[in-house]
Amino acid sequence: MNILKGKISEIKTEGSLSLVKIWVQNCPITSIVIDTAEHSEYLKIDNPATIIFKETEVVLAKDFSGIISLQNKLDCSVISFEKGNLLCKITLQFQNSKITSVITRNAFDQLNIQLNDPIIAMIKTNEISLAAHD
Amino acid sequence: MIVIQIQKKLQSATGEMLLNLDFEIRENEFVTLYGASGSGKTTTLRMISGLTQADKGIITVNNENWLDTNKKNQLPPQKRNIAYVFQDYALFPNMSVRENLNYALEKGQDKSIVEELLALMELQHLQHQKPAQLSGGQKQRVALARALVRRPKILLLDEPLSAVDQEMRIKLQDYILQAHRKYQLTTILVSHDIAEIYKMSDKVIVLENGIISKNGSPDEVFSSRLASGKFQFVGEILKIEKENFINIVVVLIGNNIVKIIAMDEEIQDLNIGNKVLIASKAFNPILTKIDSVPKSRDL
Amino acid sequence: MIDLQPIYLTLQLAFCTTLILLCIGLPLAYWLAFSKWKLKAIPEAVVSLPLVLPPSVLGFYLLLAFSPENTFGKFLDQYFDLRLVFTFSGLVVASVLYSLPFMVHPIQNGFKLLSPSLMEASFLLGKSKTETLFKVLIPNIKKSILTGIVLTFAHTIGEFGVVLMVGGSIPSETKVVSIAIYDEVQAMNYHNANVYAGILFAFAFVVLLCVYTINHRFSKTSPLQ
Repeated sequence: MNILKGKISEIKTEGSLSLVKIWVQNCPITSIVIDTAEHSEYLKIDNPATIIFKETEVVLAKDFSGIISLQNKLDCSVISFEKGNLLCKITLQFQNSKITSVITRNAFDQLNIQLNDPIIAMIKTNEISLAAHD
Repeated sequence: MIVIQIQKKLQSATGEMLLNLDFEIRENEFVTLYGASGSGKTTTLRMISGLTQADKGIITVNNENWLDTNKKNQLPPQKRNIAYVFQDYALFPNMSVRENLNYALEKGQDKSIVEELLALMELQHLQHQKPAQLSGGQKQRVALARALVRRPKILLLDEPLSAVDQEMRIKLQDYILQAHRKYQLTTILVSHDIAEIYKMSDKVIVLENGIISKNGSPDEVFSSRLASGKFQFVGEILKIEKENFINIVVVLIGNNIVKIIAMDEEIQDLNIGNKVLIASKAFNPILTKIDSVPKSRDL
Repeated sequence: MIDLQPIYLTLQLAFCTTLILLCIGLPLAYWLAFSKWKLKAIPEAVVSLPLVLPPSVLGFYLLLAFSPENTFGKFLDQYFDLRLVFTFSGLVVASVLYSLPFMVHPIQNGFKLLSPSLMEASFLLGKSKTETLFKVLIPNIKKSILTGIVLTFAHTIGEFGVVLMVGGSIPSETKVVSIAIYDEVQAMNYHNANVYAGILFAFAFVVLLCVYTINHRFSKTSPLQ
């Protein structure tokens, strides 16, 4: 589980869905949830929020250019990795937190990932869960 | 409408604790008391039924005063007409199933209710057995049936399902819900099981060290753990398989076994047998009608 | 020919004592088991006294109390025309006191071993304490009551010290088997003593055998007890 802490800055609602923008330091992250400010205590602008996403949902890109539908792009650098035959686990430094990504070994080899490489971690908006700060 | 405002000093394992309750229950509501053991759940039921005396406070049921320590009013348990199902069922060992129910009849009460309850709880074939010959689930049904003989309006259940296996538990939950609806009861259940609470209750009251820490619908009370996880279940860990740096955690949810991928850090304090909450975004699951299950099921 | 009177008298004494004790012991045991009175330890200790006191001590005090020279004895004599020294009635009263714990303890234990929820369940079904006692509690402690009855009966038969102090050895009035054995030995009639002793011995054995047999059967039919 990757966990980041941030602050809610924007909530757009339609029906019972809300698109929430959270700032983690100077990086915006968006999440879509089946919840509205009306029904949930935590969904308030300026409220602290915890962002949770699974390691297996973190997409990695190197030297990326072009347009992509993924909204959440985090600038990171590689601090360590473990290689398996099928999967690889890469630990990244993002601001002052660590995030982990699990990708296939094939992808790892194609990206030719090395220590200290700059890398972009991307997470789909619907893969990000929110929890109220405890 | 039941209004409860009571206080009682309790001796707990960690010393003295003040049970301080203030809540209301609407008619026909199904309410669950949830909390760690020793948080005062059973004592709460016992004070409502009059088996345990409150130190201070009032209990009012449909504008009828059951307890008012200021006026030294105290209605004895006999007069409260409450259905109470004990954790150990409290069936009378000297009486058969039918005799246990007959015993509960009031003077001059129509005996047809006994037949009705024996049928509702599917106990006819067991009616001449003594409690010692029954299984846990059967005893529980007898206890429930017996408690309902006097046509009470309030049903109190003190962890009645804790001693039976999962499959039986689900059946018994249905019996309880059936009785709750059929007799338009106001029911208070003590339970530890979040899945059970979701299934049964309109409202959950969470007790922590004698105080109500949360009070609301199961959704309001429990989903704050992961606010936006609309897809969540409670299950029990059966197995943890380690594959390199990832782990496959096998979890039993109800009667289904699911497998979940977890990293080492996530399983650090998880052991086999632990209860876990499994949550996911509601965007991922794929729905398929049961009678046309696709061949490929590696979802 | 051996005198059967002492045997008859012994059985009569044991029977009366047991019957009276059952009537006193049941409510007393119920009260001791469920009362929340702070000073309950006092009556509990009093009930258990005969277990530890030498019978002669109890007998001595009873003799003093029953004596028409003293207040209590005089009172009984004047108002009830009742004399308890060296009479069968006196023996019964003394035996009742002396065998009290043998009736009360098993029944009290029986009550205590019942799950408290049985009683509470009955109350919540609208039943009074009395109805609960007779329909729920007593039927579920039959074994304890039977044990109390048998122990009391057997213990009364085996009494010696109290009987000797309060009753002496008046034929047909207070001369029970245990006293008769003592008398026969004093008179060097070992044969008669032997017969009495043998009868008591066999009786005690048969009684205990019956209790255990019945108890085993009880516990088979009703594992809850």
